[in-house]
Amino acid sequence: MTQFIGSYKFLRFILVLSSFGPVFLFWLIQRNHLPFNRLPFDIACGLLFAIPNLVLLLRIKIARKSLAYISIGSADDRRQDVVGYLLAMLLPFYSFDMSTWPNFCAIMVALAMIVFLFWKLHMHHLNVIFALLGYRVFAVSPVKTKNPYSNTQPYTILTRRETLPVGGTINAYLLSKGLYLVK
Amino acid sequence: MIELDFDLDNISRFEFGIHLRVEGEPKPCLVPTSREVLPSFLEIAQNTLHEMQRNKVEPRCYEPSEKYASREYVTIRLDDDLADEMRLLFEAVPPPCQSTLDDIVSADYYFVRFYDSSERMLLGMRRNRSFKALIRSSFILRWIDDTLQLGGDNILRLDKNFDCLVDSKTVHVLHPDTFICLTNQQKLILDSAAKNLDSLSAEMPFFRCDTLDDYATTHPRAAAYLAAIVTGNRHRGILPDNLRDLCRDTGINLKEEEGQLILDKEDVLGFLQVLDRRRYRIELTDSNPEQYLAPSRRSLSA
Repeated sequence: MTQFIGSYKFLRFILVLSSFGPVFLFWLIQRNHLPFNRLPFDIACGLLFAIPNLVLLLRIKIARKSLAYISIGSADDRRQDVVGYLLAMLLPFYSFDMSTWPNFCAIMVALAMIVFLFWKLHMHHLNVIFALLGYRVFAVSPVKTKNPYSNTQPYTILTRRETLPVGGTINAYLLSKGLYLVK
Repeated sequence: MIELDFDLDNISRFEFGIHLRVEGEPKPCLVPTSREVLPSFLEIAQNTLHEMQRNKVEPRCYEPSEKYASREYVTIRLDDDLADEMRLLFEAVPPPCQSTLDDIVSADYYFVRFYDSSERMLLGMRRNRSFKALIRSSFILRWIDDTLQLGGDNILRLDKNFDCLVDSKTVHVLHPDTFICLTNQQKLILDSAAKNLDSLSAEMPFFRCDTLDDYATTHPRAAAYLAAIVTGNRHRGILPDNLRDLCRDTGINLKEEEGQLILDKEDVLGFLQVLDRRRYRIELTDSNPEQYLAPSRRSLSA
């Protein structure tokens, strides 16, 4: 367990929960009917919104201690992924009816499966909060070289810049494995 | 005075990494490291330079067949085949960055890439050594438990020096023995033995290389001699008569067959030592001439 918490898998899980923060905020505000007392549900939604985002802020602060220098072979703006994520994933949860136990359980199972899939498929960079703060999502491939020690793995960059220096290198903070934050 | 192609007084940034073997494949990885560690790494680099300059002697060029002290400053060009590992790491566009807190203690070696204000790089490498540590209990438990316990599983020990420092032209080696391990030299010289034999054969057409072929490609020591001979161009301009005389004087049997010199299998290493200028005969007294083998030698004309 301690190895998991200290690992990038845990950070990835936190990032996925953070990206579902708007869903928990929706449910907190919405006041839909539930088949049980709302108070524990409201507390859970509040914690699931606040804690991952607080951990994420702490992670960003810690990541600033160590600067990575990464190469940009090609950069592809993936803003449309965030919009697609918002429309296809988040908004439908807003309209679900949770007034009966079967409906409530089905929605919780669906949410858990989607969270698990996003975690497993490394889709933790799709975060509406980052998008609201003006961050773009770039899918980046490193510069290709014949050197077997050079990086060949693609990664994702969150940045407020409009473009990235293709063919060059850039300073970045490592948020999670394969995910960097650039000022 | 060592001339480094790097300004140690103006370091702008650094990268710290470790080298692992994942399923047998070498894999260097950068590890996120706090900037607070930079002064410690810089101290290690400065200690290394200080040790290299301690004897105030010009460094020798590294030769795979030479015997060196465990701590001796030697150099090798970065474009030399033996420095492949250093060159690949030096020239790599940043290796993948990943936290390997669990892998740190199993790393083959760790390295630091310093960058100065002109973006020149200095690479420091050090072989990882396992160690045992006794540590105190965690803060809370310390109130009731004052015993030392075995620890160190999550600690990477930084040493006082690097094994070598690499700038854009040269590998500056402080620990030649570790350099051999870092470069996987045995495999490299065995792999290059065939190529070196071809070069020897071309320069010495009066000598039949068949006996050398089988032996030098499978025996690391012979391959090391061969690599040193070819790299140092000691196989060029050899006169057959002089070679025959020196071999006879130092106990190596060379026979002549169809106009070519041939060698017995038992004398392969000795013959390579002759070519590498390590076997010699001295006649200082009236008694029998003395024959010597020099595991380490330095040219007086250099």
